[in-house]
Amino acid sequence: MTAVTCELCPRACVIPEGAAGDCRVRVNLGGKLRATTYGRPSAVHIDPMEKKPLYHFHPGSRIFSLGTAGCNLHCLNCQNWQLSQRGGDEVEQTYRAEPAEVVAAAKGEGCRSIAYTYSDPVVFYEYVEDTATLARAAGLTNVFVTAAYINREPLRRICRVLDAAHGDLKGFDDGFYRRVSGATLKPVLDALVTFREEGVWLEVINLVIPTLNDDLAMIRRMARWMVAELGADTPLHFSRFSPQYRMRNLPPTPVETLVRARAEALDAGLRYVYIGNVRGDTGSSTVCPRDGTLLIGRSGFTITANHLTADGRCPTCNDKIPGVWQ
Amino acid sequence: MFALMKHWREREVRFLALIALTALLIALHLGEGLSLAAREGAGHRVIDLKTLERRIDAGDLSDREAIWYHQATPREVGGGRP
Amino acid sequence: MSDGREPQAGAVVARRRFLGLLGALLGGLGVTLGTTSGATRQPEADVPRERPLKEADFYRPHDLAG
Ligand SMILES: [Zn+2]
Repeated sequence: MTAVTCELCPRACVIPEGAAGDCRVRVNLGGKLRATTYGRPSAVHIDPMEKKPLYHFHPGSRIFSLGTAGCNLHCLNCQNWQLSQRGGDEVEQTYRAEPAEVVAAAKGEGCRSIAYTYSDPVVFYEYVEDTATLARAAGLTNVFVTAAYINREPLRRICRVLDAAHGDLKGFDDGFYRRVSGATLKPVLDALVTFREEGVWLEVINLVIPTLNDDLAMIRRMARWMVAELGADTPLHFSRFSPQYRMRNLPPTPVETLVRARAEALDAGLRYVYIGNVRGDTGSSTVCPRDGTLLIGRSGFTITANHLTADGRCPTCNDKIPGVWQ
Repeated sequence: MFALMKHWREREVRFLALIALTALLIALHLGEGLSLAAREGAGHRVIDLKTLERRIDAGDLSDREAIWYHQATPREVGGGRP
Repeated sequence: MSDGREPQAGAVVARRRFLGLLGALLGGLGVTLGTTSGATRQPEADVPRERPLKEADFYRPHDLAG
């Protein structure tokens, strides 16, 4: 019996032979840890970039998006639980897609980027790395949509082939992380800082759940931390909770709560704060923080206006707007 | 209850003892599984290994070796998670 | 339980009760074995669950987040 210790995420699973890590998909076979979902995505779609959501990264483009089974978090409100909370032989369908096939398919469909998303790309790390390396060589960009529960060294290594990351900051409270996601806060904060240090374009999402993490004082602390550690230019998306999976006892987030959270975050110094997952266009447009000029108008996942200059500046004050625009 | 027991034969008592023993063994077996999981760090999941191996052999799933891991040290195996 | 019947009648009742209990236990065992063997049955071989990428419909609407 040769047990192995996984070094990928802060769980540090000690996995006996024949068992899987907490993520269900990294399996100890014969004393060697195998990535059993390598090249076997169970969800492959082409989505608008705005759906990830990334608002300051190739706006209006389509992104080739894939995810495999498994996840290293177990959020009670997981929207993608049929993918994330199952192992590789428990999902309904799987595609055979080696990295080169993914890159060819993305290019063939006219996509300029590939997103590693839907479950958490941390658990299909090797697949991400190989695909992203080929994608970059083929002129595509790579987007990592993650809950950022990953150790620093593996993250630094994967950052070398990433262009953008969408980090999920689920709440600014360790107890919330433990209760709702079965994880801890500190490694997530460290990972978000690492993305920034490694020069990966980062946007942060916070899903606001009534009574659990909608405390405005906590949201203010979170926004202040972001200003100090990630920079005031880091976009923050407040997203609306809807009852899912094992958390059907709470109501959807009232829009007013999101509006108040956004006001709090703007007041704390963040310059680009958005509201997502709601009907209507409240808080979904990018405006110049200096003069209020509408820069990018959005309705749902559609771009309704784009007034940015070709080099990503405000047409009124000529300020450079942070992001990857061309 | 005691009035009922008055008429029990010895073999029936033995039979019930057998049932109780079986229940005890089941409980011990389940308990062993739980304590094993706790001792190994509780960070792993028991999977349907036969199905997994069958699917790997059939090429349905991959046996690509992962990058980030090492052989567990005796302390890790015995200690559990902090 | 002293119902005034002959002692032999009491023995018949006890035997019946014993056989009833035995039957219930064996029946329970049968049901347990039946259901667990169903749970570990291999999936039907004629339902392919793994498909080549070119068969995927990338534009099919979906409700996955992210
Ligand atoms: Zn301006």
